[in-house]
Amino acid sequence: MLSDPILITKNLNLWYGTNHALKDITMELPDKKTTAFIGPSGCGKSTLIRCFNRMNDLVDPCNITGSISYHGRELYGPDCDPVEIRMKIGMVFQKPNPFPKSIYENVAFGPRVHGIKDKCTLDQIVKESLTKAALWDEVCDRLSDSALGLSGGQQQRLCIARTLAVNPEIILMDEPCSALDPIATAKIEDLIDVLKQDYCVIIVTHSMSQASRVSDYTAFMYLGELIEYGETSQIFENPTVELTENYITGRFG
Amino acid sequence: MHDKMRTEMAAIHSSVSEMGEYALVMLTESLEALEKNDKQMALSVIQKNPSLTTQYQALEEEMFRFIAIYQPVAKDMRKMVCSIRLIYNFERIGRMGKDIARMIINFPDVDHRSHEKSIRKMGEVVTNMIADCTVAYQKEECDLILEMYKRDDIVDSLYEIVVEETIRWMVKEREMIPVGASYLIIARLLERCGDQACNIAEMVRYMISGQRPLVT
Repeated sequence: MLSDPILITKNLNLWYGTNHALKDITMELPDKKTTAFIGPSGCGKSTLIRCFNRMNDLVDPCNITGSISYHGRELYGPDCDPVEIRMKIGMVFQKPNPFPKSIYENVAFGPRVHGIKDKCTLDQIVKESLTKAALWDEVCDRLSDSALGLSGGQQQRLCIARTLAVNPEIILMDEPCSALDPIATAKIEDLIDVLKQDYCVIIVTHSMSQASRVSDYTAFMYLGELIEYGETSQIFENPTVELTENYITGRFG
Repeated sequence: MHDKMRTEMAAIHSSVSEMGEYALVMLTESLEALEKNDKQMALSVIQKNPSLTTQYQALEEEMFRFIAIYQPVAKDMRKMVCSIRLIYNFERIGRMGKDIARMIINFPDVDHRSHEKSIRKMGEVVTNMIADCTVAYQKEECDLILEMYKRDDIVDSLYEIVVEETIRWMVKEREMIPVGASYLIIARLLERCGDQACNIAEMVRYMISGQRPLVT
């Protein structure tokens, strides 16, 4: 379907114990585009994006079959290092979760873990990441202040900057705006629009209007299945599956 | 909240259908007035115009409000967008009925019934087209409006016939020239009503199927 997908899932199944949470998910995700996952609570959308950077490894018991390939490499293959994967495929969570450290340290943390020690290089990464996350202008004169003193929206952008600092290719966002006010939400949405020029952005959202505003492709999931996946304009103007139509028009969900 | 949205949407849908019927009545009655040379009936068509305008404005306002509040998508979005365009088409049709009626009122007192055949035929085809469009919208079914462009071709050829015939009898019967001039304008208005029907059919098909039919 896509000319150059960055992630390809094939017959992906996932069980939390006996709960069959993902059923035969086969899809291709485009690079340098925004893809939104929508669907009612518990439909598997967060579970799916957590598979993309192996966050489900931390859940027990969790069984996965099928494949996810990233640049042709099997994400769940024996030679795949989850730490490296999480560097290339970063995640931003629902609730902003900055470390209880300074703004600077929050962004520098990742690069340091990955071995960058040089102060000048770190300064540059911090500045670049904060700039890309549209936060630099607001915090450049108080980098050593605690990150916990920032507003919710600023904290979330800081978390995005922290993700960008390790030079990822894919940014996963799990309801990144659900704890934010409309202005902070709009800033994150504008940011997503800019980020997709350089990154593949994958976002899970409960807000249908947010999905339609920010994404190029939309995937609708229901009870662990991928029901419909296509260009956002098509999904919101003329969905082909009745279930999608019923969900996005608010007839259930 | 969605129940409220559905209820409001159903109310808008039925008001738009009613406006369509109202506009169609204005057009059919104006044609009936032409046929019977009934100036009283023509006057009643003109008197319907303010209500048509009021319906148009109220519905437009209502639909803008609906979009602002509910931000409809998919089928709901298509229905709203289509309905907004339809009321414009209906308003044009009703107003063309009024324009025809106004001309009948100003007709000189001459008997023109022998010349009516083609224009009456044209009126029949056009009003049937619009009636089918209104029903298709109301029932949300495409069956009646699939051949709209073919039907409009018939209207176009009837228009040419009316123009040709009218000019012919205007040359012969000079006292009929004022009536003939009105005939030409009425035929032109009917031809435009046919175009409006095509627009409506296209929108209703989009509303129902999400597909934009190829215009041929």
